[in-house]
Amino acid sequence: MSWLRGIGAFIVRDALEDLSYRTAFLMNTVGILLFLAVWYFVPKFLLAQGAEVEGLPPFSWFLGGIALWQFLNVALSGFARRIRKEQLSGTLEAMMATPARTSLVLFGSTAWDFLFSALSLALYVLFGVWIFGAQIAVASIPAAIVVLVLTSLCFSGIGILAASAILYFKRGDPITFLVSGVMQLFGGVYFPASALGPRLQAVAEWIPLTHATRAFRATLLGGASLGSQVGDLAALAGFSLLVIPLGLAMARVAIGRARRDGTLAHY
Amino acid sequence: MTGPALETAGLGKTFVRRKSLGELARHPFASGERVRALADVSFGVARGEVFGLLGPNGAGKTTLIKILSGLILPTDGRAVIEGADASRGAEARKRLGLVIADDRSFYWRLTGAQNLRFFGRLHGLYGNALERRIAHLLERLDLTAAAGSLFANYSTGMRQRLAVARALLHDPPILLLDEPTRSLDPVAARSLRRFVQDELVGRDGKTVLIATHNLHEAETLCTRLAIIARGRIVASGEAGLLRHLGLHADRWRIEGTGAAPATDGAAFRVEGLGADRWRLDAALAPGEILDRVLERARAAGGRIHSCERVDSDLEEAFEEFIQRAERPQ
Repeated sequence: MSWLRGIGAFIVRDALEDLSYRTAFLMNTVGILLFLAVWYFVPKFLLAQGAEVEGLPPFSWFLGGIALWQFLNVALSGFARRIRKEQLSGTLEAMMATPARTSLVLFGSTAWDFLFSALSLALYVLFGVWIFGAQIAVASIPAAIVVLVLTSLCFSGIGILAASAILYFKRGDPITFLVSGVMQLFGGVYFPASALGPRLQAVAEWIPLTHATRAFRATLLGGASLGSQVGDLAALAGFSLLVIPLGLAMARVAIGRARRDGTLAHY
Repeated sequence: MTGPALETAGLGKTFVRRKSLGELARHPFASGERVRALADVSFGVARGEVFGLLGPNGAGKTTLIKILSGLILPTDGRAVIEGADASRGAEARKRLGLVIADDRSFYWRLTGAQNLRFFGRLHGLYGNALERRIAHLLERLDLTAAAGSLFANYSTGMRQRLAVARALLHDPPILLLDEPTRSLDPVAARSLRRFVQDELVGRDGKTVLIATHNLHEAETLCTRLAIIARGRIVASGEAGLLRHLGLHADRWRIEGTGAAPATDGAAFRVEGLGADRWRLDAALAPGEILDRVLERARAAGGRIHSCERVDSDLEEAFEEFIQRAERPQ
């Protein structure tokens, strides 16, 4: 079976399910607007007129971080959430009884979430620009997309590790909660990593989100080329090469254990 | 391809029960209690056969079905599906269709057709070929009119028929049915059994393994049976097995006086009641008429005083048989 066709099957399934909740789409759009409004007024309140954050207008700086974080949260928690949902709904066993590979089930389960989050990210940026006056470098959008894809791969590996925890321990929330907390503290989402001080800033360099937010802001907001972000991109690629195989290996171990224990459908 | 469609050799499954917090505190390094769900299960199913796994709740039927479908790994032995190890890879799963009596295994906010389309794609079917297959199966299972309805709105019978349709999407040679009529009313159950017998086996030549605790279903549908209790096969044989064991659905109790007929196996059991009285418990074979049993009862010269049907004893008899089988020798 073509892997991509299999991914397409999951996307169609989840899109149809989500589309059946019509109000949710409207609520999601309204939610984005409200969230952006909060982050528009908070820096206005806290910072002096004309202040900049890392050379960018405050709202634009926040937009880069929170839009990226909202998107990456799907990669981080989406796998675990989807696996848990399949367990709760009883469909995981039905899928595992088919010839579909574990990797297809894992990646396929979040493919629609990624697409939907990419749409949400686009809405964040569009609303941020049209309504709240953020400035982006349109010419650097392709470069920003490359950063996004590479970051998604890295966070997918972490997300698959969390999904493996769901399969192994039947709970993965503490893991994603912990990882999410560390990422948000050190990753430069709500404040620059430089605010952490030199020692903690050194720790931040080991957090993939730090490189992601830096490269994403530099390209989308600062107009930087991909070439100027080689360092951060190399770090993200390195993290991806580590966590994706590790995540898939752990997923196989977790599924193997669930099959040995007979707990594939348990939650 | 020669050889059995499906066979198991020394199949066993032991689960380790999770320790409670108290046990964990008292014995942190001891492993949990081991629960033997299956032990030394060996049988083969020939191509085109309907093989029944008959047993009470908790006997290990579902565990066995899940091992055969690769959802659970065995602790001992192996299961082979048309030459492919059931525990390794996708080869065995391609040859199997699984029907589980769990309507949680569908997406309730998708239609019947959408559900089939998704699972069909997981089997590698796409485009017009998949659409034709779905239309064909919906028609065979009388679900065409409901194809565009949400699964959530399906009746229990419709859900079970959709489960059969899903199992047939990739046209597997072997079907595993785990208590397929458990939640169905008698009419729907009969219809499904007829579909299995006439369509799947009779017309399509499929091999079917059915797990059930319904004695009548096992007797009428299966060409061969294995009775499973506490994870072990306690009896196996041809279709007349239940009758031979005295577990046949059609049972009669005849009481008389005088010379008593002789016991002839569990299907013709005579018990003395004292004072020249006797009781005969007889199980009729399919097609056998009561008159022949009465003739045999009178053959010794005694007189018959009463004759009554005792259908309700079948489950009791089965329970008694299981208890006898589990007793240490």
